[in-house]
Amino acid sequence: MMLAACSVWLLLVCLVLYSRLKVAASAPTCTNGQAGCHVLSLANLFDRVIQHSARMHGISNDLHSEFELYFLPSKNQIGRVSRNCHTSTILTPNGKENAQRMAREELTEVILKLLVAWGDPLWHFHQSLAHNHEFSNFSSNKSLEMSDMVHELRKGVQKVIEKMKMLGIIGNSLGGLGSSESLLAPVSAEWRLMKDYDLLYCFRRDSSKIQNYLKILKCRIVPEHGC
Amino acid sequence: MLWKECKSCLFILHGFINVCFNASPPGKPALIGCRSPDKETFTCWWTPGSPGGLPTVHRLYYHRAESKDVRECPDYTSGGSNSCYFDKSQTTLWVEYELTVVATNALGNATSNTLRIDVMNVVRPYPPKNVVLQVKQSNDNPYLFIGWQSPLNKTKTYGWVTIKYQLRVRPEKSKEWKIYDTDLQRNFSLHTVDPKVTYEVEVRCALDHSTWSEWSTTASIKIPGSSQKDRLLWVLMLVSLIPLLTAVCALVVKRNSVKQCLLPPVPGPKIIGVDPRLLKSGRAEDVVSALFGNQKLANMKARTEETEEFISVSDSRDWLLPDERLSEKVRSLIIPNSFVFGAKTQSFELEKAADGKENPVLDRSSSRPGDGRTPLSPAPELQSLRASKDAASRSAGQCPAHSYVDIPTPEDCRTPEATSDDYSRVKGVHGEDVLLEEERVPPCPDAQIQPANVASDYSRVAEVNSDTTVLLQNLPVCKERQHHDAGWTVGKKPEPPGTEVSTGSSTQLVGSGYVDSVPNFC
Repeated sequence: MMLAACSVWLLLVCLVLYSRLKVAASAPTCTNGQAGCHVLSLANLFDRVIQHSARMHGISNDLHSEFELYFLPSKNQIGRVSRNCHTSTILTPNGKENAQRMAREELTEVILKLLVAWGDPLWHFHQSLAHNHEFSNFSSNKSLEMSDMVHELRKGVQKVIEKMKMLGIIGNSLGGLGSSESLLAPVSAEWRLMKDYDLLYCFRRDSSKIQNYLKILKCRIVPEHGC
Repeated sequence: MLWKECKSCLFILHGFINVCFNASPPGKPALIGCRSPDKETFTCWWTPGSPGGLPTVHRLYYHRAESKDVRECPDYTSGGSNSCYFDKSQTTLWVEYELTVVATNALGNATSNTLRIDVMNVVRPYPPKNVVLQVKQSNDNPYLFIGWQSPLNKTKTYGWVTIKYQLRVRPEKSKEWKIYDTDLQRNFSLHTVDPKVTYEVEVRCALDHSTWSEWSTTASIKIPGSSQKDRLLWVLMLVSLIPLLTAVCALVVKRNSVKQCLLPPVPGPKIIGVDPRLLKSGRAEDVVSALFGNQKLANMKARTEETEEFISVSDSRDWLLPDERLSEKVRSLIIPNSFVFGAKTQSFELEKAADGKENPVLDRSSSRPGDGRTPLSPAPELQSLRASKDAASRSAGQCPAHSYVDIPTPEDCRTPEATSDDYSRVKGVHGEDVLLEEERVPPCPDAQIQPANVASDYSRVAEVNSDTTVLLQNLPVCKERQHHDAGWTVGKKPEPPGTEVSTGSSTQLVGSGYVDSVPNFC
């Protein structure tokens, strides 16, 4: 009698737990039809991506300041040609209005292009720092972190794009996601000629662009009180 | 040709004139820097060089890094003097600007250094506006609420600008600031404030990774009122006062007992042999007795050991006196065996000593000859030994006997404290014998001759057997016996005291009486 009661009780407990687990597990898997579910997750994704880009820009800023201490280049050199960043060919909006006027797809594409363009150069930059014993371990670690972040951010942005495509926010006009080589081809060779310091300068600028563009994109697609 | 020559001549002349009048081309201006408060516009400033004494015009020229298109500053006024303001349409981010300032006056011009800037690198907002301080209450604890406004105009930024804040607080007299980050919030609540302290607050802000702005103007406020601690202190004080007051009241009410407890009465000095009560009474005789008695006692002190053998028994109240006196009294009360016999001798001696002059006062205990001590006058039992033949023949008068053997005279009568029980009268001297009379005892009215109302420790001499033996009679108290044949006590002719004394101390007496053994007084 007791055994029967115990077993019944155990069964009930198991059922309850299983149902709870099911509920918990089912939360992330939103179907297409559930608009509320998707919007929430997109906003969350955007937030994470923006945070990531902010951190990346912070590190690039720090590294650049360190390099300035090392090399002390005169900022106001007249004879200096403007830095020819390898990403100069990518057309980027240079102001708030310009960015707002740009179509979502274009803006998204610009972000992605930038991220793709910096993957390799940063990795090689880190390698050169690591082998060069002039630089401290601290700088070398930061460059590695920066390189990793670019890769992570690229993946994150790609996920956001997927989400947006799924939601029908943007069309399928975006180039193939895997075809990073096509994006990279025109500018592939130039970055090898850049000096470390110039490279850092260029990256600092581009990381700032990425952060700002992402923020504008988010406010346009997922409006919040902060926009 | 001529005109050109004239021109050059004039020019040279003009130059000379200028030099004479201290005029010169302008000094080189210097570009200080630029600042963008909102990532959409920016302003640049310069400092002019030496003026050169002539009106000088400054112009700013710029061009963007990629193009060669040189443009002049669109706005020289909005940013103040010696400034150039670039509005939204003129501002391009992530692009390098090259700026130069040219100062021109009549004599020439001067070009400043070229400044290369990227607007994104010179972003620095202005400090927050309208810092407001308020003291609010939360569960009886005061806290400081700090609020402020963004330095930017309230236009929608569309995510372009994310402003974060930082504030610092310090008590007025402290030198150290405490910094708090508030991120995007435009208010802050500080709970770690102390009352009655004035606090100073400053706020600053930054746009993303830009440089921090300057600190805002200092706002200060005083936290009012008493703290929880003060109130608690007052309550505690009041509560502790109640038992204190109670204790004070109790003390006041019972002050007498408290006085006794704290200041116990100090016993006055006690002089041996002097009764302070007698001194206080003021009567002459009392004073004398008080003082003189002391002397006797002093002399007697040495003999306390001797007198210890005495057992003092009395039915009188005199036993209440102090011990030294008591011992004296004891001695006086005791009937030494030899005394009876020595009395006669003494009486005769007295008679001889004082012809016609009665020496009323004689120390009883002067069976030790040579002792010329004064008697203890207040003790009536130390009554003088009256020696006179006449007195002996006289019958027992109204005055009861006080001492051992008393031959009372009327004028020498003193009221005895002791009853007459202790004494026996001498009826007469018959030859060698001293006839003692039976005392009349007041409680026994029916007997003329009545036994002395002696204490149980005294006994009458019943019979003298030999020279060395005295038979004592068992004399009952008068109350017990209605009559008795007391008989006469026959005293034997006394031997010289020396011999008597030796036997006096004997207790070989026969009879049921009790006789104190009298020690040797010598």
